[in-house]
Amino acid sequence: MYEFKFADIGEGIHEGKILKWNYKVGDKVKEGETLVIVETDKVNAELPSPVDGTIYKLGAKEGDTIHVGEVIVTIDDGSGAPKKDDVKEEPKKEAVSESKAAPGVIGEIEVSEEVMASSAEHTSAKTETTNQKALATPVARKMAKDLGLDINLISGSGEFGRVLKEDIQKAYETKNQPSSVQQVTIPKVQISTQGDVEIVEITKLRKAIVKSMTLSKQVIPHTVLMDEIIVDKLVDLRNKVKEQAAAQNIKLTYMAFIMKALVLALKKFPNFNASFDHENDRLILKKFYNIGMAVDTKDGLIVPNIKDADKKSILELAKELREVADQTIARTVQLAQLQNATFSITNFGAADVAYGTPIIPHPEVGILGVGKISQKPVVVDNEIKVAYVLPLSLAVDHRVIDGAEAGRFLNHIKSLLNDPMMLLLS
Amino acid sequence: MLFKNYDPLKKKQLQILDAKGKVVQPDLEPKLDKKTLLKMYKTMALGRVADIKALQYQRQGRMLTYPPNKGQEAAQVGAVAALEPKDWLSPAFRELNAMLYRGVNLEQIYLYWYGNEWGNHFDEDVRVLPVNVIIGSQINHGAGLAYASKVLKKNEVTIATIGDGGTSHGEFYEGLNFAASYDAPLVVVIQNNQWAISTPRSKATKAETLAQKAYAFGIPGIQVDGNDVLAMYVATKAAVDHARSGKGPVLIEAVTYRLGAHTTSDDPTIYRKDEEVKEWEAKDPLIRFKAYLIEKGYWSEEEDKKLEEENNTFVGETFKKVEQTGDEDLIDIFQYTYKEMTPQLTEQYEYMKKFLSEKEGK
Amino acid sequence: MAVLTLLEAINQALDQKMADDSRVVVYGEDTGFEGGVFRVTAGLQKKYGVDRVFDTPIAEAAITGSAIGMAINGLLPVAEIQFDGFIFPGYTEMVTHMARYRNRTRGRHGLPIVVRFPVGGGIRALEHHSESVETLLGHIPGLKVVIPSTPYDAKGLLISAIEDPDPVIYMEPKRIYRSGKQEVPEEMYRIPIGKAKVVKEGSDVTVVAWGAIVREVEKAMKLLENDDIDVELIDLRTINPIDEETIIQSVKKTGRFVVVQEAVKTYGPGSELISLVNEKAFLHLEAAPARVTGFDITVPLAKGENYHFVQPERIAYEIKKVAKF
Repeated sequence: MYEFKFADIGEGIHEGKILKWNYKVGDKVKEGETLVIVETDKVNAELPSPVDGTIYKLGAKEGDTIHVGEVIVTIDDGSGAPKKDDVKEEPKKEAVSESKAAPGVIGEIEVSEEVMASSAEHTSAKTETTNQKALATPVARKMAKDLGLDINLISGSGEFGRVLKEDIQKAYETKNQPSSVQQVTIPKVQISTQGDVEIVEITKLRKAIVKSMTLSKQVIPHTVLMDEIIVDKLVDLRNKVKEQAAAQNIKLTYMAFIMKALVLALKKFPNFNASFDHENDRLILKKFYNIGMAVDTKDGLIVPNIKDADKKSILELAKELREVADQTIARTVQLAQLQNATFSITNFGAADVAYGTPIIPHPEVGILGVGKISQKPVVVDNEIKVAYVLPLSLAVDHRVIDGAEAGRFLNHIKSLLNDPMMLLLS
Repeated sequence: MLFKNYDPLKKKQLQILDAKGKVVQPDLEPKLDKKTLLKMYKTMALGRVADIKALQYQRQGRMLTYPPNKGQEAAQVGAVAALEPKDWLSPAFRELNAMLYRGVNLEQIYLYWYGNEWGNHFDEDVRVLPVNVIIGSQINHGAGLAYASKVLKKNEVTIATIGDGGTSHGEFYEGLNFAASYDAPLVVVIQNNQWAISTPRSKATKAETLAQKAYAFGIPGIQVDGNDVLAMYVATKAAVDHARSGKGPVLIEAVTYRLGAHTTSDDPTIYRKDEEVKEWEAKDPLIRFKAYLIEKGYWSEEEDKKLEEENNTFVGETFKKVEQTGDEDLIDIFQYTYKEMTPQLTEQYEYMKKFLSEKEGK
Repeated sequence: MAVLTLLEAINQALDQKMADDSRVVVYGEDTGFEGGVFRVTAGLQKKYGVDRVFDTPIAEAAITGSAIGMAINGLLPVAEIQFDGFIFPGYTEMVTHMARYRNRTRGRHGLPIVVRFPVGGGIRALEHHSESVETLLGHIPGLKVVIPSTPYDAKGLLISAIEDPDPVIYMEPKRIYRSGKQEVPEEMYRIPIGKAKVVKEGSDVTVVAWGAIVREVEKAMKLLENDDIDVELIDLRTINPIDEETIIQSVKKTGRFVVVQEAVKTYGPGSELISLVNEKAFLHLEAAPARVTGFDITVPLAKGENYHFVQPERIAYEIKKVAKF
């Protein structure tokens, strides 16, 4: 059964009046033949049959008014159940009260009686609200996300409080790495494994050393001054006092004296007992003296430091040096002992070597390399004598310490060790 | 009457003064007073000098591209002389003499071709639209001016001018058709100078005359000897009266010649023959008009010489003034985009101002 | 208060302005006697006469070009182009003259013109009757371009447009001409050109749309109700000049930005808004700004148009992507 609905034939008509039926119920009609003439505002429209079939039912009689969308005639086209003619407006609307055709010449304009909410001007709430979110670039945000940090909790050092990559880096480190070793970017290098080789994985300690050494060498421009001191008087003094120290169970090493001399020199040259903050272009002078002492362990080099070395006597220094060294070798030394050195010493003498170019532990600005004390021919008052000679190698951070000053520093140490009386009196 | 007698389809062309300045249609000779005639002549003479000198300045590198008007002085002045001060002119771009006649300063005209928009800022009571580079659109603008005149009952007439090449453009048709359908008081004067850059008139359209295109709009059309200033005046006056009385537009074709190049960047020797140019030089509008005025006792050769000197001095001084103006003010390129600068424009201006001052500071 | 459709609101604005100012004239193809093919200008010619409300020949260049002469000589022309697809013959005059006249004459002649035409698709129309041309007009310095999304805005914006001393392109989204009604105050009122509207406040993501698409975004927001996404919806209202302040303020608050347009993707208005957000709110962004657009194709005919025009499902999908990034 075909239900033929009255369509908007264009021009925006809503309704029409049936003028004349050409067929009655029971008549056979062919597709295209004019079924009926409908009068509208604009035209008298002849409506052609959409199908072949037999007139089943007329929707309206002559003289009746018919509205768009209403069934004008039902035709039995042999298709069975009534089929809808797809004359309609937008099928997917929510509220259409009547299928009124809307004028427009072209297309189908949706018509609805639905009333929408009245207009009200909102203004967006201003940004001065409590949820202050971080200012950051997408790169920084990704970095924070990758490191598992909430960027909104990181304080930003950039303009307007912008969270920079460095800020994120710092936040990550304080979270994860207690040591002051910073991230080092090492250029990628391909090392060949061809040929007769054995591959050895390095230990964790060695990894840490790799990092810190690389950092020091990357960041700090080293310059090394070397010189030797005649230490006959020092040797005498130690020999004299050795026994008494042993009685207190203290092994009195030369290192204790040297450390003392170093501390005195540091007091005279405060620039040497400092860290250089190159990010902010400033020198952080330390008022405490934690002297690092490089210790050779079977796994590698570890550098504990003696805290407040300036407040300790030579005997106390000697005692502590021994204790700390033992702990270090036994790997029982506390973490705090390894942190926050202000200047360091390394003992080439322990390796039976005179001179070297030591590496400054970042962020210190200098390191004193102490060589083996040995007897050597020296010239004193134009005559050759045999004397005890102590070789020294002083490495400094040439960004903040110039050669001349390093020389003065070294010479001060020399003078103190040359005549230990000055050590005791200073 | 006039339009009936000069039907372009019947190959009629209106001429009153022949090439030598002799009146060949005494009953059509307009009754213009000496003051008006001399104003017309002096405008044409000034225009001629301004044109020649502009060309010189351009060759000296002191002036930018400039379209010479030489040869078209009568076609321009004759037409606009038929207007009243309250009437409008919607020109194309080759309209120096008409613009001068209607109150645009030479300084402004030069300033525009020199490269400064202030040259388009005419005085408030000067009813002339600025030079129009988009061919044909001035007809639509003229139609709008005319429509407003009609609806507001201001009794004004608009003349819009266009070249022979321009009559091929859609906007020519749309504009005239639009105006005609409302009987808007628009008169279109075609400056048929025979050449549209390198395209001769015959290639622009198959129609024999341009004036006969009036038939397509249902309006009168007339072809006039464009170098005859009196004929131009008479035809335009009749057209303006026709339009002003509410009868609708008229199309006038002024048959003239572009004695110079299309612009200073064009070399006409490539596409046209010297003989043709010489032929038209003999029909120079200034020659015949001067002869006419002298014949009437209104003018003399001595006065003419003196005038030429004065014009040379005046034009030279005017151009020097223009040269002093230099670059535009930075804010001027921003602040006339809208009546009030938008926040974006303000921001962009401030940015550029800062950038320039920092550049200078360095 | 009266409850009007968008179309009725436009008609009312024209009617009231014509009564208020005798210089206003309204014209175009079939605009006068019939009142326009959509009946937007119905009743005006009867009221104000044939001189002020009139039909033109089929000549878009004459329609827009004559507006220039009319505006210079004392009228306030409201010129109609019948459909978006037909603006192009009249586009020359809009770009080469209307937009530039004030600048060309250094202020001697400003042009208080309105050019209005129906825009946009989703109505299963013929070719050239479903275009979105905001970019082509918004890119022209000297023109202002507005597009209402509600009856209330339609009236206020049109009155502002007619009163504006510069040429204003007034786009009428035909899809919503009659699709709903809204309270419209009886008296004349103005909505400032260059001012966007926050339709709904939110804290998670800023979504900007205009014209018929505002309604589609609202439908999309309903689909997102269970996703805990608090959208701040902004109706741009003016395509040019853009209300940067409102948009940027919003993005600084939410950190996320989506623009939804019916127009073709490449070089569309979304590109401009995203550039703006990058320029002024870069460090506030927590996700890349996104645009939901048509495709880089010719607008399809009825049987293909639903793929092309942004639908609520796709809008919701894209908003969610940005909100959850």
